[in-house]
Amino acid sequence: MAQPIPIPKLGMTMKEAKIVAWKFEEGQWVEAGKVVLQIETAKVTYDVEAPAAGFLHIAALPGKTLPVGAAAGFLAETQEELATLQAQAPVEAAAAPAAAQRTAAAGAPVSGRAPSAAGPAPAGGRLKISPLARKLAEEHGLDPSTLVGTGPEGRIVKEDVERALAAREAASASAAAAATPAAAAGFEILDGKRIKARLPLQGMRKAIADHMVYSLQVAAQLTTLTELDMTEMVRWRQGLLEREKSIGFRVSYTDLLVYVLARALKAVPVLNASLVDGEVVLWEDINIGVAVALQISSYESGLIVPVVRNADLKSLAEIHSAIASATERARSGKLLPDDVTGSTFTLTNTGVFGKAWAWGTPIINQPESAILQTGPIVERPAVVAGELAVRPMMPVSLTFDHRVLDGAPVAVFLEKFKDLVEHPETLIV
Amino acid sequence: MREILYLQAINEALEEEMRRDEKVFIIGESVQGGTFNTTMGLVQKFGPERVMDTPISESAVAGAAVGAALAGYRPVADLMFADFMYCCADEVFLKAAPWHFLHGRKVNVPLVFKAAIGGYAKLCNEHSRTMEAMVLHHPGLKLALPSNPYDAKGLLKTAIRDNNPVCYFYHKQLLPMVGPVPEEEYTVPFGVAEVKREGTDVTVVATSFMVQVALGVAAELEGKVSLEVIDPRTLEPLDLETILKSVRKTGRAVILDEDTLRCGVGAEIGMQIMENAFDALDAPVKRIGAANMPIPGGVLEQYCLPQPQQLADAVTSLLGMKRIELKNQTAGIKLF
Repeated sequence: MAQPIPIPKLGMTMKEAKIVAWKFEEGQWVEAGKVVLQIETAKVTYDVEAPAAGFLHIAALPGKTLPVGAAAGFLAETQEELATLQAQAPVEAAAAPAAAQRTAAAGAPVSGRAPSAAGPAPAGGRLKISPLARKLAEEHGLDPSTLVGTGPEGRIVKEDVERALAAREAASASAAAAATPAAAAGFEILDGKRIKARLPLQGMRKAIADHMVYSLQVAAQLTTLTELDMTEMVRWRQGLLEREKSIGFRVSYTDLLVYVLARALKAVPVLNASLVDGEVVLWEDINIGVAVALQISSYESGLIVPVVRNADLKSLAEIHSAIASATERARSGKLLPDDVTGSTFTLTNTGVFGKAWAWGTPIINQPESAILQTGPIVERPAVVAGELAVRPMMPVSLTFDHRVLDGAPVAVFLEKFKDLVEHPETLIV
Repeated sequence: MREILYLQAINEALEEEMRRDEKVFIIGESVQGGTFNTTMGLVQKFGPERVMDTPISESAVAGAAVGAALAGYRPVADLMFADFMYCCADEVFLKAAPWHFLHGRKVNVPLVFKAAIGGYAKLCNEHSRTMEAMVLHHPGLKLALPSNPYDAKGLLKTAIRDNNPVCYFYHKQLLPMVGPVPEEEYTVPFGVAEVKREGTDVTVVATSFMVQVALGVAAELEGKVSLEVIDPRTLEPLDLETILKSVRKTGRAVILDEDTLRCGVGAEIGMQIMENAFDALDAPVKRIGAANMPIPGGVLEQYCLPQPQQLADAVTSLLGMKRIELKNQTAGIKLF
């Protein structure tokens, strides 16, 4: 019996997922437990493992959205069974998921590409190109839609690809000679500029792009900046680090800030709110999202926001473990939607990136009403009791949604936060 | 090397195989005299029991041959014109062809259906057919199509020695062709194509007389287009590898075949090229064959059977070139 590969239900609110990529080709043998499919929800990208071993039959191509539980594909025990499946549930171009993806990528608008006057003009979206020319172009990473066909009926033929490759080589050789003699030939040229890499706007990158633009479109965001004296916090953390062995983990400033922030929000709940259907909803649950950077490849970064639920009720150890385990799952592609949904306020600590970046204007993580950015703790001049002193100072930037609240409560919140940070002994009151 | 006629080469093969194996005999209409002179002189050498004339009944010729083959002889059934296979179709296509398989491979049917094919002699619909697609559509029959004297002898010897039925079709237009044939013993194996002419632009696949037409056109186009001409020599078994190797080199293919275009050899080989070397194609595969109509006699024949200019036009269209008018409109056709 063929085993279906269903779309897993990854979270309580998850209804559907989009096929991002198949990791095996149609008809290929897949061992049980191998990552066979990558799917994406509004929040996360997730690797689906093969529920059994078998010959893969792909039922849904990348880009298609399926409801939870629907079969994205099947694993056939035998070749005969595979053939039956292929006959019963054929998918247009099922044999070439990779090709389908490429087409999708090629179809996406590339900014700055001037339409060629001579025009390969894929008017109906169908490119007239010989199989040999297409293969050759693919082998050399050449986008066939940029080529002009000179074959019969304007078909792109081998010669056209070879001409483009020669031109590319010549262009990059002369560009390399002019600019960086050491640079090797073989760059793709776009609008006269050499391309280092193309990074498709898909998966997490696409989700972040959409989400950031959406947030700026819907909310009236403004940012206030301040600076907090971290003398006491530094001392606290030092004490905790010295007892790392007995505590069982290495306390980070992020852990401490989440701890303090949750208590500040409990004291000033108007910042822990969302605009829902024309009403400002103040949340009783204080769920703090913590932005965590992910390095995907040398040029690609990602961002996830694990949620520390009811952070105001959690101990420092619980906060630490919530962030750490979600981050670990994110790095291994096993993040669950519940790990990253339901936050009511977000903290982004850019202090982890070094000393250079102080303040910023963070963008609100919708549908929240505020986001707090903390920068690196740097020794700076400060006036203490009328005297100039050197103090470890931390820059703080708070963006809030002026639709939901005004400056006064923000000032109250910042005062409270400052008080807790600079006098952490009040936390135990 | 000495040079002899295509029909002499056939005659030599028959004589040598009859001397080599006393089970080999010829049966057919007028084989003692000889319609196309391919059996000339054999009755004098081997007697009427091994060069057996029959009444005008192709069913009798083919039926007797099938029976003799089952009994351990190796008959060469001379059907004169391949067109007459329609008369003995049951014996050829439903008896000789499948019996080796239907009897669980315990029975062999070692016989040769020897027949003349082809047009260009204005002999009308019942004496001009090529019959290749018909044979290929009946599994169990091998099909040899010599395009020159050397292959005519070598392929016939292999056909006679084969343990199951072979259709050996010689082309009427090639009978007077002169070519080198060694005096010493040789055979031409089945399923081994020959590159008749090397080229770089377009692969032309052709058999039998069409090989000469292709070579004639290739010579006419020399300097403008470089054609590679492949002669599979047998269509069953088919040496697809040699064809694919050539297509991978040129990126373009034309199949030139004399049989009716529809469901013909061009469709079959063209499809196999697509199935096996799609990524090597820089242009669609083209096929040229006889028009989908009965073969007319007289001057009308030229409008049905493939003409050299058609091949030239196919080639230039694949290359996106301007049409080249052949100086010699009968290139490859008027050979002798």
